[in-house]
Amino acid sequence: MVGASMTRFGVRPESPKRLFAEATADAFASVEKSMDARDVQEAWVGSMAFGGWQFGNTAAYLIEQAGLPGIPAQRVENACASSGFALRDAVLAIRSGACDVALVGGLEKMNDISGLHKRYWLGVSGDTAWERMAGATFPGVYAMMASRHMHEFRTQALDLASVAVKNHANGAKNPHAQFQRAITLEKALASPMVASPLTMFDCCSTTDGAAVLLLASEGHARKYTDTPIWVDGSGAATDMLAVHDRPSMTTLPATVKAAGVAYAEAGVSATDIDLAEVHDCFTIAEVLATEDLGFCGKGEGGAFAREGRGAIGRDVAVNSSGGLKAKGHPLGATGAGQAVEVFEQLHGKAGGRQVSGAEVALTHNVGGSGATCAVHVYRRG
Amino acid sequence: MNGISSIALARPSLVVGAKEIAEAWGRMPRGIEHVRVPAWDEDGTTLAIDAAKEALGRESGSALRVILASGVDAAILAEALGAHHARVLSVAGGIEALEAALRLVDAPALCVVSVVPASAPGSDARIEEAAGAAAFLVTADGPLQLITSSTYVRAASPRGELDADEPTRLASERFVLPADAPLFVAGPAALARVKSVRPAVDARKEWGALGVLAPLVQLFESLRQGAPKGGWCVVGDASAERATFLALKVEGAGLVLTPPPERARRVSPTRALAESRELSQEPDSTMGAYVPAGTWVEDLPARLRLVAQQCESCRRVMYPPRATCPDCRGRAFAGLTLPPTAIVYAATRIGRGGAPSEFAGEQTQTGAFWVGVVEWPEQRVRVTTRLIGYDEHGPNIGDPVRAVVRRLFEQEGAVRYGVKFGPV
Repeated sequence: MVGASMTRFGVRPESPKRLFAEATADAFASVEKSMDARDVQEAWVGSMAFGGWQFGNTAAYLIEQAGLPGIPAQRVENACASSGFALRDAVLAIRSGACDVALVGGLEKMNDISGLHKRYWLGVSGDTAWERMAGATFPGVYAMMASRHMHEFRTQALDLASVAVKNHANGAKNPHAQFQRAITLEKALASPMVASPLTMFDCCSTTDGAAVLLLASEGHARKYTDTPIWVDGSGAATDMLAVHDRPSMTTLPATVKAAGVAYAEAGVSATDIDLAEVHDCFTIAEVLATEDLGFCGKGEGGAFAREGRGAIGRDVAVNSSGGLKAKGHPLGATGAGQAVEVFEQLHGKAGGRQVSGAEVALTHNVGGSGATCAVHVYRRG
Repeated sequence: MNGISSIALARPSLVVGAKEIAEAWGRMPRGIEHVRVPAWDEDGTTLAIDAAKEALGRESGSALRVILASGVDAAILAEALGAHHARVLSVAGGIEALEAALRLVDAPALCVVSVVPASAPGSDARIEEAAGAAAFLVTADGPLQLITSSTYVRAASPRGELDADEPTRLASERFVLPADAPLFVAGPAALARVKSVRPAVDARKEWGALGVLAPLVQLFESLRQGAPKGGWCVVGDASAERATFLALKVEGAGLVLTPPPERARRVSPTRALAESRELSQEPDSTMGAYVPAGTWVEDLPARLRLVAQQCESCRRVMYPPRATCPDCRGRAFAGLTLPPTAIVYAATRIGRGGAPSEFAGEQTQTGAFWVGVVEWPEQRVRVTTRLIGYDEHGPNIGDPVRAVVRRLFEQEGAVRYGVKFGPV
């Protein structure tokens, strides 16, 4: 990774083409020794639904608007894991030798449509016919996972709220974040119930934003920078779409599989990770991720959160960016946005939220309730 | 000779007190103490399915040769009962449907009559209109037999100047019974005026106004109090345009009478109005997820009767239906019907903002609702479902629950029905 940038996530009045062009221009600007746009040979763009309209040929449109017409490009759609998979596609293409310089993008626009419309297409990446038509879209599905975690491991509402408090504290120091303000435990616990036991502060905000990464092969990277961020491991997996079809509701097997592959490729283990951007679409999702990624044992995710072991300076910095919780969640842009945080952290440019001495990082991008997952492991070059 | 061997009633889950109605509307017809009204996800079809399953008892729906259904989506009823060999006929009326089931069709037959409030909310008639269903299983040797019947029909008068009792009088004149037959009567008060007999039971008191269902409920309640000596009973219905009377006699033992569950949620008239589905301002289908009719119909046996699949090569049970066995990749499956009871595996109460758009209107009107994953431990399958009949404390993980067919949502004007789970 030789360049990376993102727009601020949040309520953005700009059109999708302007957001994507902004992220692309900033990504080129982030390249240490400069990159000619004509060097990019191929692009992968993650977007779930674009904003509800440019459903077809999305990638061609965005690449054209970002000033790179003509190159092969494709939209990657795996719900909220779209740009995590776009990154994987680019990594595999570069590894195969088919491509030397690639662009990975992500874009979503959620705030200029009605709340009903928003819930409509968010809900269609779960199991539509059986899960959704029983009244459970993602808040309900993750709430049921939380109910099982509480039942099996005595996890408390306080543990979940601790995740929200930590991520908001980190988000308060991130200029890219939608919510740049800290919250208290009391405030989180007293917020309205969305789907019991999840309150409003247990849920992330689906929002607007774009993120762009520039990748180069080992042979080309040093033309662009003396300090490339190496993508050492890329793992991905799928799982049953509906949680009722999985043997357990307190683990995401797709996370376990994807992380296993990414760790093995990178030759590292969970204890080597300095910072991890995990997919906290709900606080319970971060609890599950810290367990499934191996930062703590199964069932210990609640205590891990309550004891602050994921805070900057503790065991591992989990969601130093603020995560989806505070940074905001523009579905298709989220996976690429996670890599932007890694890029800034491993270059020591994360300001007040800098994880000191960070060398090895991980991103964890989940689609739906765990039907898709992409995990990447990075190392400072 | 064909006769009735089993009768079951179903009533909706909400009840409104007459006193509360009188306070809200300023009036309430005499003789009514409670009005039974449907909840958001109940209608004539769901009540009919509830009653029909009880009337069938342990009998298999696949043995039925005929279904006569009044006020019901008959195709959904037949699928919910697994009545794949039955001729399914939609008929009108209550007493007329029962007469047809006894006189005209092959046994075993099921006659199901369902009513729901017909008037618009806020209309004057609405306040006493109630909902309910009755199901009659007719078999070749059923003990409750039709002895004789009489019908009189005349043209309706737009100005209503005709003698309202005339159909009753003329029908009863032609109605010949043994002079010493001890009668009890379920039916119109008009009959009492012309024949000096009184209804044995007035169903209005506990149910509200039931329209064409009223005489059938009265028949049931009368029989439940015990048939009189000689076993005769007369059931009838009459209006200004028509009157029908049936004389029935209990011949032998074994008539099964299944009353509706006692459980009911007492609600205010305002809440009953909100539950009526007719006040919703939010679009509940235009912004909803779309499930094409063909895809929906493919899963109907699973939706209505809990038909699971069992892989023919590795015996794994799958529910909801799958295209390929995840264990052995087999694609040949046998049907396996899951038991109606399951246990709660996970649960959540969906509040405002947490509901899918197609349920947003329902939630605005009726408040937060419960969703859960329920499990059949023996078959090792689970499904996500609505959990109904719980207050804000909900069920606990591990609680037993029982399947009932309810309305799920509407798409393109068609109601999509399927199982939900409630307390056993």
